[in-house]
Amino acid sequence: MSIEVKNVSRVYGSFAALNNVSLSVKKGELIALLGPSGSGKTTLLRIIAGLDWPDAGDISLNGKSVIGEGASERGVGFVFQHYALFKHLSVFENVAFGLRVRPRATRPSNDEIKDRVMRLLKLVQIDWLADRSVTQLSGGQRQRVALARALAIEPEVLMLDEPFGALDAKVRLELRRWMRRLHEEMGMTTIFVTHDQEEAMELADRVVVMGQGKIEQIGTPQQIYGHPINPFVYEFLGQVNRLPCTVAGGVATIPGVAVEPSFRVRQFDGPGVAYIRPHDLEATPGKDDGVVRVLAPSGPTIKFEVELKNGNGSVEVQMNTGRFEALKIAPGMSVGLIAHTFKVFDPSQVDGEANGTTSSAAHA
Amino acid sequence: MPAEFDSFTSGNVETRRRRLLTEPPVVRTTLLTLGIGFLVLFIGLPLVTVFTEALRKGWDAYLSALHEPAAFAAIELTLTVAAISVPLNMVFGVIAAWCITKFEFRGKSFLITLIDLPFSVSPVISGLVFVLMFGLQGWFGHWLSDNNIKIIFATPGIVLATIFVTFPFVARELIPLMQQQGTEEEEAAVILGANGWQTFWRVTLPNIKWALLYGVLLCNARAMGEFGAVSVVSGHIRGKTNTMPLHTEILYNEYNFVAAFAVASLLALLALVTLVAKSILEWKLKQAHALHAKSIANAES
Ligand SMILES: Nc1ncnc2c1ncn2[C@@H]1O[C@H](COP(=O)(O)OP(=O)(O)OP(=O)(O)O)[C@@H](O)[C@H]1O
Ligand SMILES: [Mg+2]
Repeated sequence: MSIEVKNVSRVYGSFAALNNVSLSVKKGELIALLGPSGSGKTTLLRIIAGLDWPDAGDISLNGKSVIGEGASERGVGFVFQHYALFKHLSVFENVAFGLRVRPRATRPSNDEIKDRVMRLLKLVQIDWLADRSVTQLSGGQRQRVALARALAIEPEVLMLDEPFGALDAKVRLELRRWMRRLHEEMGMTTIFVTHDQEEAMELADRVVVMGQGKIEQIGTPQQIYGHPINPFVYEFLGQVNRLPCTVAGGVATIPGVAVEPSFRVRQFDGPGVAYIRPHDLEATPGKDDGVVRVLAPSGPTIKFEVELKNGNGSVEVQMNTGRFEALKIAPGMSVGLIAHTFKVFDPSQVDGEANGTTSSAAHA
Repeated sequence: MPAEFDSFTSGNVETRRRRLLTEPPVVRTTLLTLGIGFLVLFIGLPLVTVFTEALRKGWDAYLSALHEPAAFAAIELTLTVAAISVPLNMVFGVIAAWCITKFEFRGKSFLITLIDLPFSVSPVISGLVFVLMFGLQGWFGHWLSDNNIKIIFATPGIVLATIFVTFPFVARELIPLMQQQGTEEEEAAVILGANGWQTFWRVTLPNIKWALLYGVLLCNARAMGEFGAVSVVSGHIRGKTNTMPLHTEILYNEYNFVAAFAVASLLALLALVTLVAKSILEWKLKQAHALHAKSIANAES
């Protein structure tokens, strides 16, 4: 089912939770809504599902406006952030709910319901829990029940609100992979909310980055990560160093940091702010741009801080551990810095100071 | 996280309780004696008195006092009034609690205050309000008497007064529970295709059933035992508009002690049954609350 969101706004009191949001999703796509807390992800999802109404704008499913239809008529599968399982029902009955409430004419027989529910429970790998009360399940098991329950009505669209948010890292990874496979098998249009950029990047065909009730950028994970269109998206997708720079004829100069000679900045001229990811910076011994301060080794790469000599604060550098060891870099050592690739934004687009390191909320 | 927090606080309660138990024995015994003595004196003794007075002249006198037509009529009226007002209040209470907890609207806090009004007004005043409205001199008095409808000094008046006085019980019991439970499960039901009615029967009601029963129980106890408001609207017509509490008072004023206490003993029995049912329900309710808390904790852990 294709989804078309046109100029949707939603205002709570005087606060605009969604401000003129437009989005179109093709049939069979897997879309991630990514954004910081309070950016309106849940609100948008609820409006598409029919649990909330826009103050302006239109929602179409399969090209037909559904603004006049309630949630029960839209045939959308929804997995709530805290699952919202029916506490008084067993796992089986939770999954069977959507079939049992159908009008008699379209309601499957008891045997069919049993068949279908057990098939779904097998699919989500918890058929052995069918008779358990949902209050006796672990978080991951609840998540699977919620998913099976949503799938039972054979929705053409599946929406998941932070489906993995409440799970521990290992279960999260496992369910994530499993969901990707499920999507490939069943091929239904899927939208999921997350504030974890890694999750969005790994799972989604396209990522929708939201901030403050607006869509900042829509694109494939590669587009979003490689070409963030504004500082907000850039910062949200990972750690970044911000340093003042000037660009003349495509050549950027950053005080205190050397720039890869072949690197050109496109469509920019004059003073700006360079956004450099830690792994796009490299430290080299024998020069004197800054002093190595703190080291944080983490497996194949190593992260460290370099305090700039010119007083522009410190930058974070991430390097290959092998290369790092070959260069024999140690705390207190003076090093030179070279930036391989980065992006320059207009200072007026940037809030806060133009130097130092920032990290995204999701990265923490 | 909440689970941890819980065990932390309950650990605290545990130590506090232990400290209470380590009070010097003298203090402990004195406090206990005082507490139990108070209970016996003010609650146990009157209860025993009711039954001993009722049975003073033996079983036969007791039974014949209850078989007397006026007493019988009082019992019948009381049951009728309860049978009408309790189900109505159950329905109204659920509707009121549903509106308050599942929707956002203007004037909500005013509605909550209004629900509590019968508790904060003296029952006698409540009765008087109905007399002022429906009595012969009242607002609708002329119209009613022209149309030959009798409300005051008749069963409808008693029912109305009882409904008014007992309205808050169900709603007050449900509102906190439903607020705690939120609307997520209902939303889940709707999105799975359930209509409003199915959502109520299959999701909301099962979640509130123990609290609802509890409210109904209290509502019923009060409906059968209400004196003040009913006294004002009833007119005390023997065999016609006397409920059990009113009939007890009349018998007592006529120095017919055995009969008075016989009727009173039925009310006391009702109270005892209510008490037992109440403790069972409280236990069930606690389970339901714990279940809810547990499912939240699990979902967030
Ligand atoms: N019913 C409501 N009444 C008032 N304000 C609301 C309501 N629902 C949401 N908001 C506000 O709208 C904004 C967006 O909320 P929303 O739940 O969509 O955020 P979100 O992106 O899902 O955040 P999170 O990642 O924390 O779940 C928030 O600032 C929130 O306070
Ligand atoms: Mg949310």
